Amino acid sequence: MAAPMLRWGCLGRRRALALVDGRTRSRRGAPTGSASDRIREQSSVAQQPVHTAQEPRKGEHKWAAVVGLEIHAQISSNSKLFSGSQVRFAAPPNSLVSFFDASLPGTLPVLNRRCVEAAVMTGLALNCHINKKSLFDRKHYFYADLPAGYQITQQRLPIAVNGSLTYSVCLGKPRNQMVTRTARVKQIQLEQDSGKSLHDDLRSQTLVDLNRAGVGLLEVVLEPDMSCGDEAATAVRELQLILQALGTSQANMAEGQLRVDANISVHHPGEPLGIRTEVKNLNSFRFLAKAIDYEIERQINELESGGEILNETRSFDYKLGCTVPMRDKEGKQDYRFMPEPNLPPLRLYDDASSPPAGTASQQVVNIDRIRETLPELPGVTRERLVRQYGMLPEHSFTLLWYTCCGCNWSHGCVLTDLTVSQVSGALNADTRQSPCPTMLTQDP
Amino acid sequence: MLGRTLREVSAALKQGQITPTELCQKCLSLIKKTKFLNAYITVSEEMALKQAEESEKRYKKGQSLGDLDGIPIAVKDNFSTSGIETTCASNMLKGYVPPYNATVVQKLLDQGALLMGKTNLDEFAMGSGSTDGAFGPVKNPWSYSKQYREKRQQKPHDEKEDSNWLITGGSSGGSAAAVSAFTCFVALGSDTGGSTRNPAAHCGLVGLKPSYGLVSRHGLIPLVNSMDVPGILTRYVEDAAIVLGMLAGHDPRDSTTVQDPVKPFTLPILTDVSKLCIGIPKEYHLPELSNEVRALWSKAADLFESEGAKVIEVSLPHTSFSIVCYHILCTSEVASNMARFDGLEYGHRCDTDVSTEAMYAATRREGFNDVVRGRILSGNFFLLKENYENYFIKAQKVRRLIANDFVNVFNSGVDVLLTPTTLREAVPYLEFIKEDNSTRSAQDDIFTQAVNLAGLPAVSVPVALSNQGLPIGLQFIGRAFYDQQLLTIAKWFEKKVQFPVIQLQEFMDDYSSVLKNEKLTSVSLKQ
Repeated sequence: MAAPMLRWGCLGRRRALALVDGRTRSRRGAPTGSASDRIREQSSVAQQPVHTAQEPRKGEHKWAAVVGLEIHAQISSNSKLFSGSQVRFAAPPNSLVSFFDASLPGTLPVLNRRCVEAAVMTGLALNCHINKKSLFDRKHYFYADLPAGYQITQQRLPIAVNGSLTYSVCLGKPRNQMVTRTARVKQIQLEQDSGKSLHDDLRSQTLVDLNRAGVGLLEVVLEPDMSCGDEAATAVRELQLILQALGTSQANMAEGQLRVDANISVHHPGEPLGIRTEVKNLNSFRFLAKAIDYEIERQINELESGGEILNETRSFDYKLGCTVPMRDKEGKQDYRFMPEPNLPPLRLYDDASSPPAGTASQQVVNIDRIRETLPELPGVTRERLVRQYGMLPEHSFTLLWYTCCGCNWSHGCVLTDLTVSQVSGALNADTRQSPCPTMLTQDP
Repeated sequence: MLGRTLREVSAALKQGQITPTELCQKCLSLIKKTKFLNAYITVSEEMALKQAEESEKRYKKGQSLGDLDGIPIAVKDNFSTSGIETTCASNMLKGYVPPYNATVVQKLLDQGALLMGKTNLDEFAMGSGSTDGAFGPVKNPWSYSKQYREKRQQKPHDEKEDSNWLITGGSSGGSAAAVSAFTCFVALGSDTGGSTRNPAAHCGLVGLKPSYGLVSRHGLIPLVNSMDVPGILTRYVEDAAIVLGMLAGHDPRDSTTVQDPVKPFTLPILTDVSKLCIGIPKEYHLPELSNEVRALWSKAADLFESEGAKVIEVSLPHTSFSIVCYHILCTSEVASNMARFDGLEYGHRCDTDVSTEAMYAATRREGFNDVVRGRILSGNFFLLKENYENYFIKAQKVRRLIANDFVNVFNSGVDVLLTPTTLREAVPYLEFIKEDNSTRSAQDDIFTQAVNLAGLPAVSVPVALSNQGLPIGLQFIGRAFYDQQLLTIAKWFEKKVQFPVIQLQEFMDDYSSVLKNEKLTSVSLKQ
């Protein structure tokens, strides 16, 4: 099934095949004339460049796209979320696996304090309400890289809810207008990462590496407040900067520390939201916007040609530049969520609420103390650069975007006053260049 | 020597009357002689002898580790033991040798105990007879006792009559048989719905279920994480208290253990029960209860009353819902806990290599028996999105009501509850298997499972022999974390009822030397 689906799914190829199909359809008794008209229309429409929500398609009802994101960030910690094995990238396979990670019977989870602090910090940085009591659940499914047959996550009551992520997109023809957008953060939850499976089709075997199994993840869920690939990519980039500034995640996409799943649907403005598809494992900025925009286009085309959108999971084929259904995820999965019985509720405290008498200090996480230790966030840094050095807002974005991860702007360790002004001046002078990161709008 | 209390044996060891190696060899020899009981899955002879040697060195230097140093013990085969096969009586884990010790096992080993072996059970602790394991059923030593055979007018050496042997109860039947047949002094069991107390009652032993959260579950291969506890099987209440004292306490590896420091478990000698209030739950007067058990229960209540205690009838109104509640929550957690057995990292893996899914299916079909598979299917049904609210959530709410029933009763001034442990004495295996596992479990766990739903401590104490010459036990249920008080009352009761020792000497030559009236006047015991 995969090969034919692939061809049909791909926009580029579909254009060519659509014409063939039009003729076929009319032979099969589909209304003549109208089908081929529609096909011709489609191909002419397909010539147009990928549009954003601001530019309605010609001659059609307006379409609006909504994009929600589930972003998984690996927590920067010494050991895993529920066990003491180390967290390290590119270690020899299965060298960082504790008994618990391998799901040996009788082993039990023990919560890592650093991961809890990382979640609280991130929640505070995203203006979330931190739940003083949060719960852990088991999410069941069978897969080779999930040794226990379930993932421990926070489905019922996550650690942080109701926050916001503010980001700025470049609009306009020369793309130099910075417009602020906000995506609501639905929740942040702590959960386990899975191991890695490598499919060796040549020998009909799957190689499983459990080094990553059990590493702590922060899942940040963004409501469907974004409307195109550009906005989504920008939002993710901003989150990445925040996580790096906090030190809660290195958020390096190339090393798999930041992974994005997108929920995409289209609808006519004023009408209810359409059926959404999930596009999984978008692991590079370069293809994030592309994949989302492709999927939006695909859904529009599908609906306009009388088809329907399946509530399915898709992945992005980098080589072909299109989304394809994921074979393993046919049909809706019932994860049979159940409370994790081995972990009591996670209780956090603040200055207004003290823990029970006799509680050991290592068992106490104080939200207010953590709030005090929050470093300067990118948004504040940018404002400061603009204020202190008279930098253009769009240049402040460029500067932060292109600097290396983990660079601590609040200490001004990289640039002196003189250098910042020089850079500012250079950027100001060169107005022909787009000040916005070109990597987001690169051609495929 | 093998019939003595821990303190007595410990004193004898200290005084050199017997050495750990001698004790070890006696027990090993008995294990061989009682192999037909099928109490042990693995006998760790080499390890036990080595441990005995080390214990002996310590005694020679006068540096014994405590009351358990040099004492033979056995551990149910669902506790992880480093370097010793741990099977849970399942094909799924045949050949599985864990790389770590369960916390409770480690604690016992640290006290110098000699690990005789791993005992038999119902597969993955699912059952109330110890009949449904991959290594066959366990036979109740009382089947071969003089007391039982006399009543049935059987000649003691009549081997042909073995076909009507009795079950031990379950699921910790192997541990119960091991202690009952004098092959060890203490055995660890597990208790999820009564799995330690039930076989204790059927085998004439003390079966202790500690409060949930008091003893670490790290290394106990789980059945129902929110109800499991390690259980302790001994011949005397004092011995159970000694062992509990060694095992109780916070374990950083088990997040469900309480952090509060644990008080020591030395039991005061109770002489005056006039300040006690004993509760008799009226909902436990079931028509299925055998007349003999009913009579003994009544007699026990009268005993307390005659000694000055206040004995009142109390109500646990939601008792009738406990079976279905338990069934839903148990099968749901089972379905979840069994998900890890996929043949990939450890345990049995089938030969199919068509696809991963096919491998999972075949491995799990081959590895699990019908009982386990049945519970997994039920559990997954209850956990489906469309059923979760109506079944799982509902059962959790009912569980809260059941737990509250006990809280209310204890808050009204009751110190302990007195109930039967089982409906009747042990039955023959051939009769037991006439009904299936889940029917039997539902019947046999009726007095014990509500305690697990509420996380309370409970102990079954052997009281008297039935008309058939078989043991009957009664259960005491205490307030959460009042294990010491519970055992203190149980110890008083034990002294009053003077339950007889099992007489196996006519069947086994070895036993006569074991149970001769040895005079221990030379042994001084510290109280």
